[in-house]
Amino acid sequence: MERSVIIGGEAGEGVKEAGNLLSRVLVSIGYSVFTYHDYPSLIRGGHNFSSVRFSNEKVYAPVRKADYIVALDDRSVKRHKEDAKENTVWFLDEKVKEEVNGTVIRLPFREKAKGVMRSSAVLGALLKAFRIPKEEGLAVLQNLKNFEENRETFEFFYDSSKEVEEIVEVEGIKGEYFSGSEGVALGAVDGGLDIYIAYPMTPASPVLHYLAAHKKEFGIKVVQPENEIGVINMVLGAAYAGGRAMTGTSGGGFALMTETLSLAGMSETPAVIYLAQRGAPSTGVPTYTEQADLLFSLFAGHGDFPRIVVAPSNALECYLLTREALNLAWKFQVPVIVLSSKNVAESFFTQPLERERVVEEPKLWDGNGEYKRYLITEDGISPLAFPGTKGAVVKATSYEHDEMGITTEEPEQIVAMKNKRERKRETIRRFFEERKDTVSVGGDTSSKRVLLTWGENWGVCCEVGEELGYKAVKPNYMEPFPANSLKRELEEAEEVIVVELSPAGQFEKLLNFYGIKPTDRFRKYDTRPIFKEDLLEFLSGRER
Amino acid sequence: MSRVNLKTHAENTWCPGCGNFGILRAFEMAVEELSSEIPLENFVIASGIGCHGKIVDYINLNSFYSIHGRALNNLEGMRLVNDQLICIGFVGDGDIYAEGISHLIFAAKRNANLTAIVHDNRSYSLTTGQFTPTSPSHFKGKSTPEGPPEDPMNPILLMLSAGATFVARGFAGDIPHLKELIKAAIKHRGFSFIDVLQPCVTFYNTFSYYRRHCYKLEEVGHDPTDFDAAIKKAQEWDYSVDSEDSRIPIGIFYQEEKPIYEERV
Repeated sequence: MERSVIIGGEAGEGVKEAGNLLSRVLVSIGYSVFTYHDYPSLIRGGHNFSSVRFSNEKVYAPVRKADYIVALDDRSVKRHKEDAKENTVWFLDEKVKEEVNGTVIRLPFREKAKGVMRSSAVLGALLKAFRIPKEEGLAVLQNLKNFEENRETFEFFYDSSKEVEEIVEVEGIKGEYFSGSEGVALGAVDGGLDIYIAYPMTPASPVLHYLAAHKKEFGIKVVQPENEIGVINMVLGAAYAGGRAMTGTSGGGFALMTETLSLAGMSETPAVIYLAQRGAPSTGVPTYTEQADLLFSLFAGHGDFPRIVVAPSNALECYLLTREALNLAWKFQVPVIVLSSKNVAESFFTQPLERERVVEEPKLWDGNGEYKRYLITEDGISPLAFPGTKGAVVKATSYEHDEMGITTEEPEQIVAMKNKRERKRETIRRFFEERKDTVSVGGDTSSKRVLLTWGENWGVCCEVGEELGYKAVKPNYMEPFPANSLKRELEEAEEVIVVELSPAGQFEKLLNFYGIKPTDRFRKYDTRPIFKEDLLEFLSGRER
Repeated sequence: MSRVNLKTHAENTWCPGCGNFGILRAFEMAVEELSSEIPLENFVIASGIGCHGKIVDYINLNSFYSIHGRALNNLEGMRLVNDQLICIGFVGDGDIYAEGISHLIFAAKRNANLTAIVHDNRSYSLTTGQFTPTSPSHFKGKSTPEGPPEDPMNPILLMLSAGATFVARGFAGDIPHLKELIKAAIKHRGFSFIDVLQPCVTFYNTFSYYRRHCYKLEEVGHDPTDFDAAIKKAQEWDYSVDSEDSRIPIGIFYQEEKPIYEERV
């Protein structure tokens, strides 16, 4: 049993909140929900919509067609007519003039509920249609600030709406309902975060907002400096002083940080940068999605230095990989980039989230002898000490340096230090090479036809793969790139289709770089996520 | 008091007679005097890029040798995770008045508890002599052989309006006076700013001019708690003027107590 609901209206009238309230009720009665929020770059007016897809089986991707469409205005009707099925049920505001086919339930959304309060109105209307008991809705509304007012609105619309079909409670809890951004924030906290430092930028800002709202509970600091250059330099300062620091941004902000990324590499200062991709280049399409910062994240910064890039594809992976990112940054004293995109960052998933604090102790100075910040070691990793430590003088630097951290221009010392950093790169490579979890496999795992993808397309590739008989494969880490593990998964493949959101095919270029040659490609770059129908249609077309 | 050894093995590569030696010496003396109340391991010095930046290689204290214009942010980050650290940023005039100007203004606006010592030689010297934000308009640099087509800024005035709670000017040729300024700046709770007139013997040698024209604010009864008086004193000398009737005030222009950034975050 699977259904999908589109809720459309202007920005500022609770569209997103309605989608999330409905989703939370559905999750509480046992459904797996995937919710995609689509909004333009404006504050009031325009057209926002949320697409809530739910099923008694797991769902991880958006679909275009809806069984139910709530339209608060004419623009929403016009915009979503193409998303209607033959028997779609429409909930229209009384003032809507546009004609639609099929069942129509008219309700006074705009007259009886103001602004964001319309979210409770929409929830009431839909729960009645689904014959879901009022109490289930009230349980979710109880968490809202002005519960009483919301309750009145909810009940009025519940009582005024009509029953359509019964959405019954289903077996088993499918998980928590949370977004990629919340996953990143919680992962950071459980990875030992002390301070989050960021400048606002869509679609990374929800992490900043979430952490700022909960900073006391988490025992962390959250600050917003003057710009991304100031941000990343504060991050490095905090890390140098021994605090686990992290930032988040999107492409343009990351571009500003690249000079300091190099400083992190040279000074071997741990840093975690959450990079949430938007439609690019430049300002691009700020509130929509793309995967065209992949090569940028891998090559940003001047000079050679090791880095790690992790690529979560859903909310749970955001949690796990961000938590790991903090530990990796400190274990290897390198910058770690958590590379996501809007459809991971701002979509909501239903996944089991078992929070656990995992903070590994980094390699620390043992206190014996003279402290050398850049001690030459076999594995390329020098023990850490922090300012304030008696007996240690901690000298970090952007210049090429000797073991003490004093500037050098001597060829032998330069080579020794470059070799040390390259040995560290090798240590990192070996650390990942030995692991079995650098690549994910899904869909029809026995198929010789492969959908090779990364990041946010993972859910849709798995679902479509299962339906049409394709194996889905993705790297979970982009640097070091798990080329050997990928090659093992592709050994039997007769067809390898690359699925990505980049017109130039950045992921395919990366695969080519490691000697992996795909046979076909599906590239989407209208900055919308891959809806399930898009990939089904592409693959069915190939089979004809 | 036992003498503290602040020397490192780094070879000093400043030009003989460079104004930076005066700043280095004044700072060493200030640290030595403060070391009875501040453990040496709690000092962190940072620098930007330019001749001034080399100073961190020459001082055996915790240091973060940053990139051009960004050192103050590194220090702000440190203070946010460890407020026991005594943070001093050595920055240059090109470094912090050009490349890092936004960071300087915001460090002052926030009243971050750290000290910024600007080695203001009014020339990009490590890059062999171009004009900086405080070069006079008659400064004939390699990029502007006729002089820059713009006038210099007044950093004292800028810092006063940005909200800095300790604003001073020093002269690298008067080491005892500069040492006292540095000590006062480090002891000040909040953002301390010292614009140090630091002659560059190679590209802009202003030693004798400053010696003739500098006078001490404390010797003329200036009240550093009077903001309006501070503004007037800041305007007394225009960085573009080097006429023989100029008077250049050095010392503390302004000082006030305000809550610091670290305790408000």
